[in-house]
Amino acid sequence: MAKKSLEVLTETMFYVLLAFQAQEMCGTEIARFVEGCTDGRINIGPGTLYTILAKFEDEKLIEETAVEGRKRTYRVTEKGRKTYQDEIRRLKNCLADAERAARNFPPAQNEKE
Amino acid sequence: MMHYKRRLIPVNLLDIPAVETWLADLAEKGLFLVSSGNYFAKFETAEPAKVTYRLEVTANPFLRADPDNKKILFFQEFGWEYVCTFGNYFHVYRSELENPPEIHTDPKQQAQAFARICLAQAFAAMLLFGMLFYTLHSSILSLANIVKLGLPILFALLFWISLPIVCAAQSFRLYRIYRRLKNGAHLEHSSDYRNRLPLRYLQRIVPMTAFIIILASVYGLTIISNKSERLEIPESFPMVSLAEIEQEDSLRLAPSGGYGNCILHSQTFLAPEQYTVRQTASVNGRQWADDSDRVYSPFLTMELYRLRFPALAGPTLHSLKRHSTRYGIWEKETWEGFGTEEAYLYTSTESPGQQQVFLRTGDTVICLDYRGESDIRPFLPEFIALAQADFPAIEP
Repeated sequence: MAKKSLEVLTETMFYVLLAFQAQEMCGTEIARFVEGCTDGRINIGPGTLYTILAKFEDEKLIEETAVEGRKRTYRVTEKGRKTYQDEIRRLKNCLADAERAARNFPPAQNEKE
Repeated sequence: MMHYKRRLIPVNLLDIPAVETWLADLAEKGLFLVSSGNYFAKFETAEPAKVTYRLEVTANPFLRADPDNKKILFFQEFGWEYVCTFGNYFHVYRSELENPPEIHTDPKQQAQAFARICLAQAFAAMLLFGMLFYTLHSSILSLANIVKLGLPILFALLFWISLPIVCAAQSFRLYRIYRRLKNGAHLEHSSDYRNRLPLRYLQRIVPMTAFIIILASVYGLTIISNKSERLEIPESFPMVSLAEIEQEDSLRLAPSGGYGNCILHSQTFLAPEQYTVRQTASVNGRQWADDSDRVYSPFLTMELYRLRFPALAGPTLHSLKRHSTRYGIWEKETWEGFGTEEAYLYTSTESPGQQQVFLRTGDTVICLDYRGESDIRPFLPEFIALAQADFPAIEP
C-alpha cells in the first residue's frame, strides 16, 4: 500500500515547518523555536519531533545538511516551502470563512460573543 | 567492578505509568535498569540518583530490536539515553535532567504507534484462538489421550486455553490506551503502584509459576514417556496370540522383547493399569493376497485400560474408537451378548485385512488392531475373557 502523503498538516507539523522558513535547524533548536513562538503553548518532545522530521524527509519537505556528533541539521526544500505557503493560504481561507460566517450570525449570537 | 542485581517486575508490562514509577523508585535506591525480560529485570548498582524513565512503543511489534542509531542520537540531543527494550513492545529511555522534555507530546501521533501494537496483539490472540479451536476439535485432547497420558495433557489444555485469553486481555488493555490517546488525552507517567504491592507481586508470581508448571508438564508429556521399556511378553500373560489367530505352521514371530513383539505397561491417574501388547510375524514363502508381492506379515496390537472410575469406561471406549477410526472408511459391526457391555468390530473397506475390535466390560476397555487375512470374529469370547483376567505384575 502506498504511503499517504501529507494533505493537511497537524498544528505541530505546521510549527515545525514554520521553524525552517528562517534558517537551518537541529532538533533542540526546532523545539526551542516552537516553544518560544507559541509562548510555551506547544512543546515538542524528541519522540514527536523525530517522527515528524522522518515524515518530512520521506515527503522531501526537508533535507539533512550536516551531522556533527549527535546533532543533525535540516533545511527546508522547495517542496517544503510550497507546502508551507499552501498551508498558510488554507488557514487564511479558514479564518476568512469563519469571520464571514460570524458576521452573518443572528444579532443575539453576535452580542453574546 | 560493576555489580548487578535482578528484580522481579511487580507490575504488568503494559501498565506504563507503574513501570516508569517503579524504575524511578529503584534508581533512587541505587538500582539502574540495564536489561529486561518479561518477568525479571537486571539492574546495575550505583550511587542513588533521581532518574526519569519513559517507555516508547517500538517501531516493529514483531521484532525485539533496538531503535536505530540515528534515533538514539536524536534523543540524546534532548537529554534522553536509550536503556533497553522492555517486553516486546517498548523501548526504555532515561534522563537525569531535572525537568526533561516529555518524549511524546502529541497523543494522536502516539495513538498510531499504539494502534500498531494493539493490532499485532489482536492478530496473535486470533491466531492462538484459531489454534485452540483446532486443538479442541482434534483428537489431541480427546478423553482417550487424557486416559493414556494422564494429567500433563490437562495442564497442556489449561496452557492452550490461557494463552489466547491472556493475549486477548492484553490486546484490550492496549486498545484502551489507544482510545485515550486518540481522544487527545496524554499518557500518565506516575502511578500509585506501591499500594497493594504484595498483591501485585502475587499477581505476577502466580501466573508465572502456573506457566512454569504447565510448560514443564507439556515438556514432560512430549519428552518423558510414562510407558515402561519394551519387555518380553511373559508366558503367563493373558492374551490372544497371533499364532492362534493365524494357524500357520511357518509363522515366524518377531524377536521377543523387540519393537514388534513386546509388552509395555504404564499407569496414569485415570487408568492405573495399562498394557500394550504388540505381536508381529511373517510367513516365509507367503505373500499378501492383494498381489503386492510383499511377504505376508500380520500383526496384532492389543491395548488394555483398567480405569479408576468404571463410569469412564464407556466414554473412553467411544473416544478410542473415534481416535482409531478417524482416517479411512470402516464397516461397523456391533456384537451383542457374550457377557460384554459393548463390543464393536470395525473392518476397513480400503485396506482389506485390517480389523479393529473395541470392547468394554466393567472398568476395562480393550482395543485390538489386527492386520492379517484371518477372521478374528471367532476370537471374541477370548477377547472378552481378557477383560476379566488378572494381569501379573511385570518386572523388567
